[in-house]
Amino acid sequence: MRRGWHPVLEIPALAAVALLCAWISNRAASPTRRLSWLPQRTTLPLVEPAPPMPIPAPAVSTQAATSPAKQHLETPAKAKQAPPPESADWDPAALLARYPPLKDQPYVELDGDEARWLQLHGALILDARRSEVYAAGHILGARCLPVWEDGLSAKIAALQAAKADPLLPTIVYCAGGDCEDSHILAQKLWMAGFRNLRVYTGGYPDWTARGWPVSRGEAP
Amino acid sequence: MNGLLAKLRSPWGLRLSAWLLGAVFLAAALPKIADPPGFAEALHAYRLLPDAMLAPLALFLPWLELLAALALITGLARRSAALVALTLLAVFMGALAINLARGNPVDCGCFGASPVVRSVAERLRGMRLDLLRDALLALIALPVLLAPHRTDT
Repeated sequence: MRRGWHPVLEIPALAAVALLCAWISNRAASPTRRLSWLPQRTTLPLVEPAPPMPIPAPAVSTQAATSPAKQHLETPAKAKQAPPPESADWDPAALLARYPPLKDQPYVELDGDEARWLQLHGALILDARRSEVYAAGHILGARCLPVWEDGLSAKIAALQAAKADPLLPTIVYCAGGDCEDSHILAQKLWMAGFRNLRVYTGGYPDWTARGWPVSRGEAP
Repeated sequence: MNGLLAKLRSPWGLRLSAWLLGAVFLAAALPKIADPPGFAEALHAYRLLPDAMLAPLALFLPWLELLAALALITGLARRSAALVALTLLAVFMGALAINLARGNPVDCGCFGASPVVRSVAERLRGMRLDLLRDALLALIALPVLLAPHRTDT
């Protein structure tokens, strides 16, 4: 078919076809297997972080009434407006008293006991691992924000639209060990205006090792 | 040694080398094409690229591997494919060597994301083996690159 060798033609052709195939296959991929070619913007919706959301008063009072009963685990939504509806004792005042917003740094690292305390008091929990891993098991109440999958910006925007308070403590975790996903997610959330981020470095392995409640599937 | 070299450079030796190289690149490309986010995460662990380059490379590189593999297997543009493969192997070896020197234990990501979490020692040993494997593949690719064209099927 050919005489001689034409790398100057063949190699760019190979690269061009590869690029085209990559573009097509990425368009056809499912959302959890897709990437965006260009860096996604996670910018602040406002110049300053939004002021603390008014705490839904009825939710707090009903919680105060039920909290001594300590029947928190696996109870479904109680207060529709509160950011973590699935959580136990939604107590923003206690959360803020113990974990005030951070001033000079994007996030602070956290151990398991603190993470558990925050979970019990209704802090927002975000899982930075892949969707499949999340579905296989995650901290009860955690939301799925896979840092490597496409659509992260949209998910962060959805959190903001759902009035997640950027000044209340928010836990971010991944697979523990030297997993960096939680730190990357925390950085992105900080860019998006979150000002009270706590990276649970032990992550999911630490959580399960302590036998604390988990949930499976796509729901928090 | 000379005998082995002669065998490698015989038409059948070259054909087998190209097929073997193509098979390895095919096996490496498919899982990464199936899961670009996993590959982007693996690339991030190497700490060599700016964040903005991770996604484009994670999308493009596996397809380049796949097409080079197909070219090697079919014999279409075989020498160019061998050059691409050799260049990629050199880049992979460089990336692994830099991180070995840094003591930064990465999961190769060569054949897709690692399904199990491995210890630091396991990963460092794995990196040395990956480096050795890439060097062997490069030795196989070299005669294919240097062969004159009449050996094409």
